[in-house]
Amino acid sequence: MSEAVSYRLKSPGPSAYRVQLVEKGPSSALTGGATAEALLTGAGDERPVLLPPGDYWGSIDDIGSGERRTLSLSLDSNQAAIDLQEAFSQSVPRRRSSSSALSGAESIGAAAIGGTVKFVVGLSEDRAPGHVGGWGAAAADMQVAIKREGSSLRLQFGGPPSDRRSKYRVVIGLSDRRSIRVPLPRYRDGVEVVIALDATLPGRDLDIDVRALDPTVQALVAALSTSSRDESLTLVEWAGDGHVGNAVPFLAQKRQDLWAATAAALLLVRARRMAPFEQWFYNLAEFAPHIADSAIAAAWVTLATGTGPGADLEAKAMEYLRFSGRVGAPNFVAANSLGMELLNSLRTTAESDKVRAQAGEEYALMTKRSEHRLLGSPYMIYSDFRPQRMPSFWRFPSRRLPYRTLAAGTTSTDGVQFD
Amino acid sequence: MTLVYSKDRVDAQPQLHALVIGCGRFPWIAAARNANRPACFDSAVAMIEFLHERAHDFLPPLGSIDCLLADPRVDPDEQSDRLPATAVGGGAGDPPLDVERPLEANVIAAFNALVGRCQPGDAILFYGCSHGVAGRDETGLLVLEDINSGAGNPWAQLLNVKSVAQYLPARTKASEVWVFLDACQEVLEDLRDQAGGVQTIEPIAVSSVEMARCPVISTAVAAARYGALTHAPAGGGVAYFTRALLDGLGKSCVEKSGPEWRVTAKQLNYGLVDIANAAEGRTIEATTLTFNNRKSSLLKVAAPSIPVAVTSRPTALLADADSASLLDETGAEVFAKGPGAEWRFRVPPIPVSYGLRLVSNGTTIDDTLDIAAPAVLRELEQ
Repeated sequence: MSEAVSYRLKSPGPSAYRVQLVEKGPSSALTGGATAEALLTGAGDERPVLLPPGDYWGSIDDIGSGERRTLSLSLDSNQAAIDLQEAFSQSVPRRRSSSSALSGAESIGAAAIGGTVKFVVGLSEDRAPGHVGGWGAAAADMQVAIKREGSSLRLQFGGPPSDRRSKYRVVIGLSDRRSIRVPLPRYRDGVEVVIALDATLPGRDLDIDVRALDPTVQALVAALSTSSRDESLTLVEWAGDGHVGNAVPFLAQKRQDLWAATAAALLLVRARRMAPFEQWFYNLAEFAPHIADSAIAAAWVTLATGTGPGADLEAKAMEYLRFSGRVGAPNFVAANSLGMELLNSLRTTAESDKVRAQAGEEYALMTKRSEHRLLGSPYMIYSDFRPQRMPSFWRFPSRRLPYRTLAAGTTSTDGVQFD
Repeated sequence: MTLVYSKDRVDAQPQLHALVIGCGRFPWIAAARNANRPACFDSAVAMIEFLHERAHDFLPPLGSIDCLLADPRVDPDEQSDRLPATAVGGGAGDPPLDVERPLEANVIAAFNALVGRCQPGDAILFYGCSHGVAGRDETGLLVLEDINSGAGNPWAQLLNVKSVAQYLPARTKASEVWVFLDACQEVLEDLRDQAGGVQTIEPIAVSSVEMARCPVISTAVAAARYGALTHAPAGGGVAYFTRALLDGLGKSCVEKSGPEWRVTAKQLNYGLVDIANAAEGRTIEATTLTFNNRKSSLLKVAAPSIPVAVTSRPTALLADADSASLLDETGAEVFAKGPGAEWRFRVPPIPVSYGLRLVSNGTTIDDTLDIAAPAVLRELEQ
């Protein structure tokens, strides 16, 4: 057995990557020999790995895009670094399996309508989140760059400051029989929504992919559903590179990007790493009242780190959860799961009858909202097409979907035609 | 409770404690409703067998197995339910072990005993296979044998598995909690209209503050999403979700950890659907009851292998091919495809890129197949 050498494993690009190297060799043909794993975050990141020289198989998972690349490389005892950039650029990316939550794309089931399907894509804005009747067509200062790429539509959003306290969503209508609502997280550096519209082709799904334009933020969001707890912490700290000296700068400097701060807050709750940043969670909930998810994070922080009698903490957490419910459904699946966990606990174990009753009501509301969501995306994307085998009491949501039209056309087995 | 396996603690080392419920018999439900499911009993026995067989591979090693079983092929008025001795290391001629039934009182007692056996730092595994239902708001409810036994509330005997997953870590201070539920989450008219929601059995309870402060989150995987059904062979045998679970636990839901391959929470959370598809071409569902995706390790696997399924679009591309081969780096054939439109095999989970060569009507198509645990599904396109 050769002696292990310390190498510097260098990041292949600007995103976050899980890298695994496994030694080849006849003696270890079945399960591989020496192995190294590392999480590399951003261009220029390096991590030390200890490996014997030799031939290796490797895999690189891009956490942001959900793509995987495999590679083959040789290490000799004289080299000091393993630069993955070249190997990465020469390899072919592959999506992880479509049924995996790692894919990052939203697979929502074939439209199965057959023939020609009319579609319309629009943009709605709620200028008064938490109040009835707030949804309307998005204002003109919300700028949208629309690109048609084959049968796909790529929408990039810019315009009003991302801290404007409006909620936005993309609405996709299919032949007046189905509508899909995609919450639009207004990241400071932009967000794009890619819609693959070839839903009528046999076996094809309508895919919706929501993606932050900043790869750091995109990796942060993808990590909400795909990273391990330890990775979450590493990612949160990495996501702060370039900001001033805090382990969780996105949360600390929340006013710069309320949406990225919310993703960071959820990641920290998930990792159960809320202290000593409690106040930042509360401040985020105050600064971002239009983002229901921020109040859910604050509720968790209240219970996990608050001081005082348990009944008081439960009542305070409940207030945050009720506020969140009034603002609307969470935008991130992670927030939805965290909210439901807390409500389920409060409705059964809270000391106060009043809190138990309130938690029961909110839990029922959140359950109903969750029933309409589609799987596979880190965002809460809703469909009013009755999914197969859903319970019989399922009801279509309101048909009133005011929006500003962004694109319209038809899709059929002959392809997609835009009006 | 029926402790079918128990090992003394050595030097205060942590242990894994398992509770297995397999309920395939429902004597208080009219026979005409055909509620009995032998596969639930058989699946639980298969899980016990696996736990026992791999007792020393668990992290920490297995300390105990408690089980509650109801076999529909047994009349409980005539004889006890019996676990084959072979499931816990006995010989084929050894007498089976009498086990208790998954009645409400027994289930509560079993959870109390489980909490009693578990010391801080131990790990817990719960597996349940039975009918399953969901209320208007409640999810992950396991139907117990004495369901419908009370005239006042016929739906009183529902074990809230989600609450078990949610509260067990804080109650026991366990280092890891693993929960697997092979049951439907069917929404019944009777349940959705219950005033105040369905009242379920929650054998474990902690305050919200305790729960929020507990650093450990269960890994909990269920076989059906809210409102959906699960499936099993009608005449008995292991249910399809459990088959994928046993494949995952035994061979495929692995990640490399130092010199070992280990079954991890992350792979179990995301891998079972692909495993069922790749290994058997079967469609199952899997959903998580808790929000945990940690790289926690459940057990080590000495010789891991993952299922691979190669298909084609159109189907005839692969079905009518003159030959299809998997090639290693040197170009040597590793596997050749047999007849049929699908091609299944197993490989070690090392992240290697194989070559795929398809010869059809004199045309050769070369492609690659990247291996990644826990399963590979690959569709070739013309």
